[in-house]
Formats: sequence, C-alpha cells, structure tokens
Amino acid sequence: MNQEIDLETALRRALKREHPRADFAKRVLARAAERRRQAATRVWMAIAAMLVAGVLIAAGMRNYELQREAEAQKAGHDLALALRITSAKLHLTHRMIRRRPDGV
Amino acid sequence: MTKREEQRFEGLLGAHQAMVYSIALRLLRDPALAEELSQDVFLQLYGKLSTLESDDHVKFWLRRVTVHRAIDEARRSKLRPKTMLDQIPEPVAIRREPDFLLDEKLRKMVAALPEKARAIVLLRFQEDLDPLEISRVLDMPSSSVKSLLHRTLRLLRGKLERSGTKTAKLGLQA
Amino acid sequence: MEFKWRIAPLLIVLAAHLHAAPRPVDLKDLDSHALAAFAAKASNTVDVTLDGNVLKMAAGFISSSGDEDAVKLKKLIAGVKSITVRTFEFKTKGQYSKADVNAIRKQLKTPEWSSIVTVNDKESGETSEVYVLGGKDKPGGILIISAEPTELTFVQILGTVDISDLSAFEDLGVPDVTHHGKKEDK
Repeated sequence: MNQEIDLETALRRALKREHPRADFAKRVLARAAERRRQAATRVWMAIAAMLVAGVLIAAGMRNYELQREAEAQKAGHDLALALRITSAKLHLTHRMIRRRPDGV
Repeated sequence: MTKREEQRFEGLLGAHQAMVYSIALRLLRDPALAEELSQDVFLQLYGKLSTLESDDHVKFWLRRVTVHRAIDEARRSKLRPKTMLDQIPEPVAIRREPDFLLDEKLRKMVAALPEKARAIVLLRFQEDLDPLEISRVLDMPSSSVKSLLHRTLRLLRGKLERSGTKTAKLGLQA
Repeated sequence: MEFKWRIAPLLIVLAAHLHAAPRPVDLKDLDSHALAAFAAKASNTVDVTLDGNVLKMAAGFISSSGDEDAVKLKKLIAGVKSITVRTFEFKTKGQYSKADVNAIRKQLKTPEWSSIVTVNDKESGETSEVYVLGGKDKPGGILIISAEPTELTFVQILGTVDISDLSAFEDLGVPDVTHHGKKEDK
C-alpha cells in the first residue's frame, strides 16, 4: 500500500499542470472577437439577402398586379365597345322597321 | 453575447487555461497542437457559455470536451503507433536520480501509454479526480476506470523497478 | 340474340348523337375566307372576343365603379358565356361582296337559330337580321348580321341574354367607343 502512495506522489509531481504561452488568453479573445464579427456579418448578410428578396418579390407582385390591371382595363373597354356596337345595331334594326310603312 | 458574459468568459479563460492546455499537451505530446486544440475548446465554450450556468458545470464541460477532442485528435493524427501496456519501453536505469529526472522519466512513461489509460492517469494525478468522476468525464463504467488504473499503476511500478530507480526514495521496494 | 348484342353499342352512340343538344357555330372560331376578304378591303375593323375569364375580368373592371349603370351591366352579362363582334368599315360603297356575306350567314345561321327580324331597306341599301337561340325564359343567344353600304357587322352573344336590356345600352353610361376606339389594322 505504501508503494502505491509513493508512486502516486511521484506521478502528481511529474504531472503537475503546465501553463500555455503568456499570450494564450489574448489570442483566444482575439479569435472570439473575430468569430463575433463574422457572425454579425453573416446576420447582416442574411438580413440584406432577405430585404433584397422581399423587394424583388414585392416588385414582381406589383408588376403582376399592374399587368392584371391593364388586362382588366382592356377587357373592360372591349366589353363596352362590343355592347355599344350590339346596342347600335339593334337600334338600327328598330329604326329600319319604323321607316317601313307596313312595319316588319 | 452580453458584456457580462464576455467578462465571465475572460474569467473562466484565465482560471482554466492551464487545466485545458495541460490535458491537451499530455494527450497530444505536441505543444503547438495542444495550444491550437485548447483555443478551439475555449472558442467552443464561447459559443455555448449561455447554456452552462455554474462554474463547476463549465469546469466539468471543459475537462470532458478537452479529453474527448484530444483523444480523437491523437487517434486521427496517429501521433504514435498503437501501444499495448506491456510494450512500453523500459526506461534507462539511473541510480539515485534527482527528482527532475524521475519526473521526466514518469512523464515519458505516461506519454507512451495508450490514450484511454493515459487519460485516466492524467485525470487521476493531474486533475485529482476520483474514479467515479473520471468515469463521468470519459463515459465509461467506474469499475473499468478502477481496473484500468490499477493495471496501469502496476505496469508503471514494474517498469520503474526494472529500471533500477532508487526505490527507497519512491518507496517502491518490494 | 347475338346480332342484337353486336349492334347495341352502335345504337347507343346513334341515340346519343340524336339527343345531344346542337351546338351553334361560334363566330370567334369561324375560319372564313370571306371574313379575311372583308378585312383585306376594310379601312377600319373592330375585332372583339370576350369569353371565360376575360369576360369575368371585363365585368369586374366595369362594375368596380359601383354606379347604377355598372350594376345593370353586370346583371346583363351575368348569364353570358361569350361575346364576339366583327365589324368592317369601308371607305366607299360596293367594296364587299354580298355573296361573301351570304357565305358567312350560311355558316352561322344553323337550324337552332330562329329569325326574329329581317329588314331590308332597298332605298338606303341597309339590311339587318336578328336571330335568337331557344331558351327557357330568355334567349340562349343572339346573332346580328348588319350590312350597310360602307359597314358590315356580325355580333354573336352566347348565353342567357335580355334583348331589351341590350338595346338600352346606348342610353346607359357605356362609353361610346364605337367610332373612336376602333382598331386600325390597315
């Protein structure tokens, strides 16, 4: 039992902790700061990408709306024109009937 | 990370850098590699600090992560060929050697141990952990830790005896 | 017995054809040489085809103003499936052939169309024909063929339509674009 105690004492002395170089903590903190900067950059890049995507989607949707609006406007004008012509021809027919002495 | 967390990290770095570096150094046996690994471990802690509430928890986490990463790195780097306990080289016999020579001899013998055995010896004699605490760090049963520690000490004692080291000083006389 | 089974599918197909509702020839699908000939000589043409979603879109656009006329118009075209108008204006008289007009009439006026009025004014040289498709309460369609010395018009509206409402549109707020918004294709 005494043998093991002595070996253990010798091992404790031989394996005492060693310190890294003096600027170890400084270098870790510098790397941590760099990592923080990179993370912040990534966040800003992601925000910028989302903003750009949002602007593009909004522009695309606005363009689609304008296109639909223009199509609807043209269709509305075409409908008005078609009904106007139809009505005019029915009136013409009516006038022609009235011009005849015997009616139809 | 808040200013308070930054300050906490700096405090923990100062308090535990020797522990982390020493474990890495003894497992990797390369000061440059040990320092790089130690920095990586602290950077990992930097990202995880908010989840580790008590300083004891941080200390346990640092030991555990350092040991596992160093063992993985040692295995990956193939820093040394696989060595069985009985293949450890016999130290050169020196009679009545001074302490610093004995310390160096012991460090070399520990360095030549297989990774698991080396980690157990380090955690036991460098970090002063008991077998139960070692078993938690290494994720292995405490009975296995005790058994491997006992075999390793017997082997180291045998090697030292055969090298003719002054047993009186070490108290290793049969 | 065996013979009956053999001709059964044939009889079913024949019966289906006999009972199927006749589909009027659609003016917008008319691929007529005569129409092309009119267009070639016309100084102005109007070519309007509205059906399906375009018709709904047009109704939505007009009714979006929300005024009384818009509400009437929306009600009028609620049962309409398609509106097709082809108008050809000529600078001088005699630029289109009556034989070409007859050819188009022959194609459009299939038996399901019933003539409600045909007027021929020899003095002015104007002819107007109005046909309707059978419907339960209201006509299921209206076909107008109007031939004036310098203008030819074909109108076909398919779907439920009220003729009196239609003729009221000259007085409603429908924009008078007949002579201002014509498409110039020459």
